[in-house]
Amino acid sequence: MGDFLSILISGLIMGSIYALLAGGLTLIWGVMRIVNLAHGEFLMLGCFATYYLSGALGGIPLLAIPLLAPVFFLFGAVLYLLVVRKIVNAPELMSMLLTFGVSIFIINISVLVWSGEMRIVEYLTGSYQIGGVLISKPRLVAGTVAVSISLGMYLFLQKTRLGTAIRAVSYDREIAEQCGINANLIYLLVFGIGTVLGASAGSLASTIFAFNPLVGKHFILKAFAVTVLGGMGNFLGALIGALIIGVVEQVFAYVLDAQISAAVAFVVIIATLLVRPRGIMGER
Amino acid sequence: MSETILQVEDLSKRFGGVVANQNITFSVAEGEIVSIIGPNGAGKSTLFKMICGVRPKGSTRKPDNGRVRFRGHDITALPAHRICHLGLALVFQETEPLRAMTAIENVAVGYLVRHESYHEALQRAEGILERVGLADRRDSTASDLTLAELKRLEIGRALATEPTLLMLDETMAGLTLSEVQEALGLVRRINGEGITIILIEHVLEAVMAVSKRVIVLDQGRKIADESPEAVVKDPAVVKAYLGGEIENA
Amino acid sequence: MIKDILRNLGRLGWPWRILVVLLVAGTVMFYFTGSPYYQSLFLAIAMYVVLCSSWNIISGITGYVSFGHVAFWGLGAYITAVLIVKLDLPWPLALLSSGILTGVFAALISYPILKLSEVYFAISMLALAETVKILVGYLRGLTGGGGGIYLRPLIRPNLAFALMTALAMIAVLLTYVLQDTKFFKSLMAIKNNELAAGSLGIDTTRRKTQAFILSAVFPALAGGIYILNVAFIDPKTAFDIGITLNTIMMTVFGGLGTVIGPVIGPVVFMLLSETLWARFPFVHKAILGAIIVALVIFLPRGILSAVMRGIERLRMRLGRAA
Repeated sequence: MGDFLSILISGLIMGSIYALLAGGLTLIWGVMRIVNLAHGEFLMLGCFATYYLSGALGGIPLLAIPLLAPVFFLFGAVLYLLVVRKIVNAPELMSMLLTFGVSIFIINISVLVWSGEMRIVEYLTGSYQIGGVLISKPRLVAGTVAVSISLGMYLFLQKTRLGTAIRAVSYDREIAEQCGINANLIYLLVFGIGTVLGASAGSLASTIFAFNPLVGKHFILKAFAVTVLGGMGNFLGALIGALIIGVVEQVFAYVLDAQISAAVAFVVIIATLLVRPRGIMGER
Repeated sequence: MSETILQVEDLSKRFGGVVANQNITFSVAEGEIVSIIGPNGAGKSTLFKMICGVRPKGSTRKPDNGRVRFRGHDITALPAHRICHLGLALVFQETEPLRAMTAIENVAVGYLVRHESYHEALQRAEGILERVGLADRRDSTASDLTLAELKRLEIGRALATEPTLLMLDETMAGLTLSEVQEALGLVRRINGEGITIILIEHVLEAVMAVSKRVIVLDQGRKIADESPEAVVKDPAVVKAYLGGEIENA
Repeated sequence: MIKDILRNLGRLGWPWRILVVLLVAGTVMFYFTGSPYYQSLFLAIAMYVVLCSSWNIISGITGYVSFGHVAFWGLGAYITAVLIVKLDLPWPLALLSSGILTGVFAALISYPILKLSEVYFAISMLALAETVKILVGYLRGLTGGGGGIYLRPLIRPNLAFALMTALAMIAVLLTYVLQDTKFFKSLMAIKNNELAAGSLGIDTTRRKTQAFILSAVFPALAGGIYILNVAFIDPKTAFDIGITLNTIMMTVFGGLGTVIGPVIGPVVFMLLSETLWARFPFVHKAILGAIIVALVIFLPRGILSAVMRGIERLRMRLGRAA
C-alpha cells in the first residue's frame, strides 16, 4: 500500500509538471494551429533562468516564477513577432519545420553558453510524511505549485472575458473577429502565455531534476503524448492526460525499468490514436 | 423496363440525439435523372455520405441500419475507392480539388481508376476538359480556378472515372443563374451519354426541368417520390417548405 | 505503368544521360584511385542523397511528413550488425536482409501510423524513433545495449563509397522514373486532398503503405553500408535526431517534392559544411537551425524553385527590354 501511494504521488507530481508544459503546447496549437517543437526549450530556459536567479535571490526559487513570468512573456512575444507570426494558420509542416529550426538554434546556443554540464537548483532538503509515505519537500512544493498554476489557467480560460476570447479564437477565428475580437492580439498573447507556462514548468522542474541544455528534448515528447492523449487544443484534456501519463510512467518504472518507462510516452501516443484518432477528449 | 441501378433500403442514421435519416427507401433506374431535394436539415447531405462511403479521417459514416445496393453489389460498408471502382462517381458539395495540381492533372487522376498509363490518362483528360468547357484552363492550378470552374472540374474528374452513376451534391449552390443553366445543360448532355444521374439540391427550380423523378426529404424522412409536376402540387411538400421559400417552378 | 516508366527513361535529355555516365565513370575511377578523404566525403554526400530521396517520397510526394526518418537508418545499421555478429551471415546477405527486414517493420507499423492525420503522423514518427532508440538500448543481450556493437571492418572504404554512390543513384533514378506514373500521381493526389483521392478510386491505404515501405528500405540499406564501413554503432549514433534534422533541412532547401531537390540539398550542405563549419560543431548546428527558420519563412519551396522563379523573372525582364 505504501508503495502504491508513493508511486501515485510521484506520478501525480511528475504529471503536474507535464501538465504545465503541455498546457502551453496545446493552447498554442488550439489557437494558432502551430505545432511548437521548440516548446521544450522554453522549459529548458526556465530551468536555467531559475538557476541563476535563485542564486541571486539567496535560494528561494519559487520567487523566480512571478519574477520571470513577464520576462518570458516578453521573450515569447518577441519570438512570435519576429518569426512565428509568419506561419500562423499555415500548413502544419511549416510550423513544425520552423519551430524545429528554432529549437535547434536555441539548444545549440545554450550549449555554447552553458556547456553540457548538468545542474540542479538546490533548495529545501528533507521530506514530508504523508499517509506513511515519504515525499521530498522540493517535489511536493513543485507539484503543488504546478497544479495551482494549471488550475488557475484553466479557470482563467473558462471564466474571464479574455479567456473566453481566447477560446473563441480557437474555435473559429473569423466568427471571433466578427464579434470584435482582435485575433492577432490574441495570437500574441497566447504565444506569450504558452511560453510562460513552459518556462514555469522548467522553473519547477529545475528544483527536482538535474538539467542541461538538452532537457527540453526529453520533455517535449512527453508533452506531445499528453497533448495527443488529451486532444490537441483541449486544455483540460492536457491536464488530465498529463496526470495519467505521469502515473503510468511511474508504474512502469517501478514494475520494469526506469529506462523503459521513457517508452511509455510513445506507446501512449500510438495506442490513443489507434483507438481515438482525435485524442481521448477530442480535439478543439 | 430499365434495370435498377441504385437501391437504397431502409437507411437510417442518427448523430447523438439527432435523427438525420430515418428509414429512407428508394431506387433509381438506369438512365434516369433523379433529384433529391428538401429544406435545410432534411438529411440530404447525410444521405449522400451514407451512400457514397466517403469517410473523413477519424469519423464513421456507416448507416445505423439499412442497405445500399449498387448494380447488385451491397456497397453499404464499402470504402470510397471500391465504390468508385464499381462505377459510382461523386461530386462533393464543398469542392474538393487536388489543390496544387493543374486542371488536366486533376482529371487525369480520375482516369487512372481503370487504367494504368498516366500518359494515356493525360490524353483522355484533354477530351474531358473540352466536354466540360475547361479546355482553356488546362494548365491552371486548381487553386486558381473560380468556383464555377471548380465545379466543372469536379464533374470532369468524375467523368474520367467512367462511371455508370454520377451523384452531385448541391452542385448548384453558389452559382449564378446563367451558370446554373450551363450546369443543367451539362447534366443533360452527360445523361444523354447514358450515365444515370442523382442530383441532391436545395434549390427546387434548378432541378425541375431536368429530373424525371423528384424525391423529397424532410426532417430525415422521405415524404414524396414522384414526377416534378406532381411534387409541386403535393401538399406534404408544400407544408415542408412553408416558412422557407418555395422556389417557383 | 511500365510503359510510363519506359517513356520517362526515354525522355531523359542528353545532358542528363551524359551526367549519369560521367557519374558512373567517376565512381569507378574513384574506387580505384580516389583519396580516402574525398571518398569519405562523397560517401557522406551519397548517404544523405539516399536519406533525402527516400524521405522525399513519403514526406514530399505523399505529404506525410515524417520526423522519425532516422529510425529506418538506425535499424538498418543495427540489423546488419546483429545478423553478422549473432548469425555470422556474410555481409552482402546481412545488408540485403536488413533492407528487407526494415521494410517489413515499416509495413507492420504502417497500419496504425498511416491512419493518422499529418500532425499526429509527424509526432508519432518522432516518438517512434525515440522509442526504437530506447528499446535497442534496453535489449542488451541482442544489441550490446548502450555500449553498442563493434564489427571487424568488413569492407574497404572505397567499396563502401562505391556502394553508397550506387544506392544514391538508384534512389534518384527511381524517383525520376516514377514521376508521371499512376503510382506517384496517386501519391500526389493523396497529398493534395486525401478525401478526394479516395473518392477517385485510389486505395489510399495501400498506396501510402507502399510509399512508406519504399521510404524505409533505402535508408536501411544506407545504414547497413554505413556500419559495414565504420564498424561501430550505438543507440545514440544510430537514432540521432540530428540525422533527421539534416535530412529534412537538406530536402526542404533543395526542394521538397522534386526529383533533384534531394540531390542539391546534400551536395550544397555537405560541401559548405566541410569547408566552413566542421570546426565549430555547436555554432554549426545553431546556424543550421537559423537556416531552417529562414528557409521556411522566405523559401518555403526550396532553393531550386526560388532560383527558377528568379530565372523566369529575369527572362521576362530581359524579354521586355528587348
